[in-house]
Amino acid sequence: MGQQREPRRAQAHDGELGEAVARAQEGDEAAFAVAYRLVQPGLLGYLRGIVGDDAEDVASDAWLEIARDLGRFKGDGAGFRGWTATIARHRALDHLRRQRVRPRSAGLEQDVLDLAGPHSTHDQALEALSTERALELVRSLPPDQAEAVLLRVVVGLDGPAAARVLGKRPGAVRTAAHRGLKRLAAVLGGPGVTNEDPRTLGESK
Amino acid sequence: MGDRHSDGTARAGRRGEGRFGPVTESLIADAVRSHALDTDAEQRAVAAFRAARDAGAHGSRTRRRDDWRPREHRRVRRSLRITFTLSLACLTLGGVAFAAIDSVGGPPDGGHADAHSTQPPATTTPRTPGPSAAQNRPATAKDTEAHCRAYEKKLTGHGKPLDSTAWHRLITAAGGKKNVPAYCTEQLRDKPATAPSPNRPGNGKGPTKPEKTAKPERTDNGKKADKGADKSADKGSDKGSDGNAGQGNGKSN
Repeated sequence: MGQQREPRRAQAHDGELGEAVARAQEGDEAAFAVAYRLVQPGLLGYLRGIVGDDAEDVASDAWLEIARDLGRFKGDGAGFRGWTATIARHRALDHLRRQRVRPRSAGLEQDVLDLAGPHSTHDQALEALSTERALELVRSLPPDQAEAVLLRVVVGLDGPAAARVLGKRPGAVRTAAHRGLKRLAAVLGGPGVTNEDPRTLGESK
Repeated sequence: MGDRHSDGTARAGRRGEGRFGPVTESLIADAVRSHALDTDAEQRAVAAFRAARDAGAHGSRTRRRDDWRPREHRRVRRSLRITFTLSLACLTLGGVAFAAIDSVGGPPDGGHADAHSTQPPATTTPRTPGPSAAQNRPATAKDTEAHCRAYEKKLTGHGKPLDSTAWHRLITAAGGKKNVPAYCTEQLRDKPATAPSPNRPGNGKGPTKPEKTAKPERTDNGKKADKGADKSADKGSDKGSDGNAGQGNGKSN
């Protein structure tokens, strides 16, 4: 599935991001701020998908480490997204270990299923999805699918980069993202998507 | 359900059909990516950057996990390495197969010995009991016997004429061209048991391998010796067995 299409939004800024990172590595403070603003939205969205409300704190921790280790980094804008996502993920996993909170609790999942029926979400979904509802939907997925979708769609990584962040094979991550998006599409409804439902369910089981 | 929707929404849904991705992806991405950034958090990050820079931390060594450069060059190198490895494997396997052919067929220099034996007659004419000739030639008696069979077959109408080497050998053995018929009659009278030999692969194929039947008593050496003897008259094609035959006959002399 479209590896080029998904991260297009992020890739549009990858050149700019790469330049900013390069200048920041030479000590340019303003360039570091530019890189922050380009990366932080996706990173924060990803962290929200993993750790929920603690995402801001975890992101702060991650940025401390990013700022400290920036000199070690080598790569372009897309690489910087992957590198920062890896750091953020490690911080998030540390956080979850400390909190002993799993990224998706049973109670939340039940709420999401109640909230996210096709009838209640469809009209709203095609206009704009609220952040809360979108996060609920994503977090209702199995964890590996949720993370794959977040890295691919929200952070804007390509398949191999997402796989490197997750420490898995690219094929496994691609499958997980594919299934996750299928489920989300099914929940979000829509005529074209609804027609696919039988096949979707048959394949994903 | 689809009936209720306006054209716009239906089209939006249909655009996702087959892919189901673009709509879902952009919905999720727009919603989950945070649009309002906390400037305090940004300031903290920039402050951390400044502190690290001023402390000289940015000169640190790049670890493997910090290297996110595109992998194109590495991929090219890997594909080169794969190509090299595969070709090396092919060569190795091919060599093993070739060596296996040799080891089954006989010593590697057997083929060369045979090649010499099929060379023009000049060197082979004074062949009779010479010790040097015996090294890579079958026993002369068997030879002449085989030649005689070929000769007789030719006389009876079927069978290929003897090639010059064999013919010269036969003449030499008989002590003259005129003596050949008598010589052959005598030779073949001594070996009446030729016909019942069980393992004569070329008996029916007189035209191409007329001397096939010439080795009834050589049961211990087997077929290979047989063939080797044949090759002296025929143009051999089976190098492996030929070489073996040359060797075996040399020892038996």
